[in-house]
Amino acid sequence: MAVKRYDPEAKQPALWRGILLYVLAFPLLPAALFALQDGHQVVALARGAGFALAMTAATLIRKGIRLDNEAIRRNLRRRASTVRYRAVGAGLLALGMFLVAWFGLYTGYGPFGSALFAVAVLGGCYLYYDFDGPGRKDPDIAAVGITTEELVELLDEAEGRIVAIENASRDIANVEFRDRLRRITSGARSILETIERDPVDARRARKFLKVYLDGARQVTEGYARTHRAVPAGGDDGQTLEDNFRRVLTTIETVIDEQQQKLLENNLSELDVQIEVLQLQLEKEGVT
Amino acid sequence: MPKSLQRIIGFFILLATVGQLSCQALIAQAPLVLG
Repeated sequence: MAVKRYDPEAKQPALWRGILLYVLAFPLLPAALFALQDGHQVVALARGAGFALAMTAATLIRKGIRLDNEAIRRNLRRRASTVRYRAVGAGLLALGMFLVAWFGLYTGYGPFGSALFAVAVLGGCYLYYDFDGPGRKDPDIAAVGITTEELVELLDEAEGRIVAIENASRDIANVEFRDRLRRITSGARSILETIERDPVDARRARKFLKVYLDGARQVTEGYARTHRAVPAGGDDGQTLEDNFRRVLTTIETVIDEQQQKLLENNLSELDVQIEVLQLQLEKEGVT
Repeated sequence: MPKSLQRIIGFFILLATVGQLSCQALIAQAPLVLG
């Protein structure tokens, strides 16, 4: 599979589902202001609280949906986040509507009726938004210990650094350097792809993604900026080129080592799996 | 239950609860504001 190129300008699909709550709860704001104008402080307060809770809930639910979409887009079968955004959002919305139903209307529904509204809101949110993807139910996936939220952040940062290296390399005239930088970025991308396929590797490659890749970006950008100011034929220019060449060699070695490490990890996992299977078969008397 | 049906039911429940309460709050205010 070809590595998908990261495009920071790529638009996220519109989250229409997440907008519904903003629209539905919006009338509470003018209603709260009118109540305040008429001197009904408790009613105004309840409506204001309901509005604020509904807006917070809508924001959290949208965040939950966006994380889920991101996980689907990147083929990550993971627990979306340590925070259950959509469930928390639904809870806040239910609380907000409970307050509005009880205190926010002149003919209030009373505690029982208001509680029924809250339960209905929870049910509606569950049906309309879902609370969590299937990842949570899968113990293997939950046990890995990295959530979609962290993973997406890690991968996005790394992609940003790769793109920055590519952009900086366009300003470098030296063909050899540009070729080597191209190889480096494609190597780094293939590491990202390995991690997307098997996020267990994310923890192992974290240092590479965060520290080394960022170092490579800084050096490349620095070289792209300064090499034009230094005359190419002079001693300074030669030293700069030699230093940059040495750094590129180091980066290439690090990328190779990282790829090797990920491969070895996968192989050793496979070894363990084979051993466990063999033990199991022996124990059960098949072999 | 199919996902789309679930969504439609959820949509109407939210409309009938959140939408109803907020509109009720606003409309209840209308006579006071206009009068």
